[in-house]
Order: sequence, then structure tokens, then C-alpha cells
Amino acid sequence: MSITGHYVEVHGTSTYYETNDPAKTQIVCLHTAGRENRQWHGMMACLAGKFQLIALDMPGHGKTYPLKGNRCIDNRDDYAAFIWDFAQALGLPNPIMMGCSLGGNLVLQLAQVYPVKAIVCMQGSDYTPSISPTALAMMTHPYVSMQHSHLDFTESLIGGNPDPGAKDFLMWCVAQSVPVAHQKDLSIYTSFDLRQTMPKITCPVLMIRGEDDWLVSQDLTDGTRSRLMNAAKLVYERLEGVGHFPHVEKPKAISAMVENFLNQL
Amino acid sequence: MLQRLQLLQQKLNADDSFKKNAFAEYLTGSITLGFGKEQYTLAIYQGTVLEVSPGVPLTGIDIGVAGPEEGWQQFYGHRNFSRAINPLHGKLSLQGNLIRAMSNINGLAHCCKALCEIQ
Repeated sequence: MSITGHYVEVHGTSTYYETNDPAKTQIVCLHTAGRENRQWHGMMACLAGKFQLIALDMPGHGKTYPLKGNRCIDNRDDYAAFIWDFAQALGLPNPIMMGCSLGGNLVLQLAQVYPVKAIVCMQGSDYTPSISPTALAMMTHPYVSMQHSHLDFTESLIGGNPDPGAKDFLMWCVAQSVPVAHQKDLSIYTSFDLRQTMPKITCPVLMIRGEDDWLVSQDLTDGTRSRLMNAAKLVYERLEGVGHFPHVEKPKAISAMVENFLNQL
Repeated sequence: MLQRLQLLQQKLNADDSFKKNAFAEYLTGSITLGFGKEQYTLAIYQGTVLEVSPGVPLTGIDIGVAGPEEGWQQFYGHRNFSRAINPLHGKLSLQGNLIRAMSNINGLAHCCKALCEIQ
């Protein structure tokens, strides 16, 4: 298995993505807020030869350039449009979309607006009012180092039984994140509310929840599931000892769930 | 509670983890902890806790954490600081100068987690 990096132009922005070896079925992968596409390396290895994972860095994240004027996307409609147009630029008319946290929320939005084939929603919810305005403002305050102030927050989100190296990687990414990009992501995240339009989702849905995640609580997950009444198929998987980053913490287990779900479509 | 916080002072000063791992070596000021209507303040110089006293400094709260007894009990149970101060999921909140509180959030988290181990 090899992982290769490429650039494609989307909305005038040079957009970086990585992929494992070509396969018959492609899955577009969305990272969590403020992070980047290396989160998917573990699953790329696990699903090599079965599925082609295509993981982009959103504007201003990882190796993707920011929008003109060093801006980042600041609303969910533009985020969804960017992701969709990325997929179209790669010639994927009806892609499978998979995301975690903010990415998990965004796949719910994509499924409401665009003809996706199926979605995999990890630690996602249609309603996540969980970050205070003060906390958001502090992320770019010149007296506050986000690389320090988000250490405890990130560590608190990791489950009790991550694979070796997963915690180190997730904590290292705190130091590598770009404050303004992370701030815009969490601003979108905390104002995210799709509850009224969830019946628009008609594609098959796999929901995955790491049970150690306090941020996307069981209540938020249950509420989201209850509003997926028109999904062609709804599969719900839970993992003990896993937190907010299932694809990083337990890529093998998550890959098995995804493979099982997609093979039954 | 004062006796418990004096034990906390000993614990924080016993090794370098508060200063180094939680970056409290850069903290000179005070941490005020509020338990319902009770408040106690730890005076700190470069990560060393100098003394613990009841109440709030005359200059007001520098940085701190406060909440109702119920909120502290929840925190003692899960011991997850970020969850405890999250507006949707916890009942504790940051106090004082919020910019300084966020600049020293790892020290606050370490201090409160250490308190969980002293019953």
C-alpha cells in the first residue's frame, strides 16, 4: 500500500489531498475541526485494495492553501459546497462521504443537499452547541497560545484505549494546527443545527460513536439518529474505550465496520 | 476544605509536574477555587504554591474555577477538566481574568485534577 499526495484546484484554491491505492469504490474523507488528512492514514492502510480513500485538507488546513486573503471557510454551506466541488473536480459524481466530528456533521449536510451515494458519520451530530463564544474568541487572542490552551481539551477527548501512537499523534496535531482555521471550524461546529431538515436525508447512513466521547454525547447522537427517519438504511455502531477520534484511535475496527456497511449496499 | 487545599499545596509542590507538564512555571499570581459560596485562594510564584487562604485577594480574582457542589462532585467522578468547564456538559466555570485563565489553562486543569485525588 502506498499513500500519495496530490493537488487539485477548487474554488481557486490549491487543495491538497492524499489517497491510497486506486480501487473500484472511492470514499471522500473529512478531517475533524482544525486538523488535517493524516488522520486517515490508518484507515487507508486497513482498507487498501478494497476502497480508495481520498482525504482532503480543507482550506487553510494541512497543506491546502487558505482562501484568497488568508481566509478560511466560515459557514457550513460554503464548506459543503467546497467539499462537493472537490469531489466533482476528481470526477466523482456520486461519492461516498465519510467524516468525523465537524466532518461527521458535514456529511449530514452534504447528504441533504447533494446526491451522495452513502455517508459514514463518526462522532457527528445535527446539533452541536458546545463551544462558548469566549472560548472561540480566545483561540486567536494574541495573549493566548492555542497550542497550549487546547492540550487539555484534546487529551480529554481521546478515549481510554487508543492504539499505540494514536494519542501521541493527536496531541502533536494540537501544536500543528492553525488557530484561525481551527477557530472558524469550531465556530461552524457550535452553530451547527440541521435538526429541522434531517428528513431530507434519504441515502444509506452508517453512524459510529466512540462511547468515551463526552463532547458528542449519547443524547446528541440519539437525537440525530431519531431524525434520520427517511434514510434508505441506518446502521449504528458503538465502540467502548474509544473517544472523539475513532478513525485515529481504532482504525482497524472502524475499517471493518465501514467495509461491512458498504459491502451490503 | 482549607485543610484539604493545604494538602493540595503540598501535592502541587511535591514534584515538577505542575511546573513543567502543566507549564505553571510561567504562572505568578493566584488561583481561586470556588465551592458554592466558599472561596479559597492559592498564592503562586513561578509555579510554587506559597500559601492557601480563605476568600479572594483584595485585588480580586486573578484566575480560578468555581461552581456549585454538584458541579464539583460530577468533576470528582469523571475527572475531566475540559468537560467540567464546558457550558453544555459541565457545571464549573473559569473565573477572573479569562485571558490569563486561558493562558494558564493547563495549570488550572492540573490543579483541579490533583484536587480530585485528595478526599
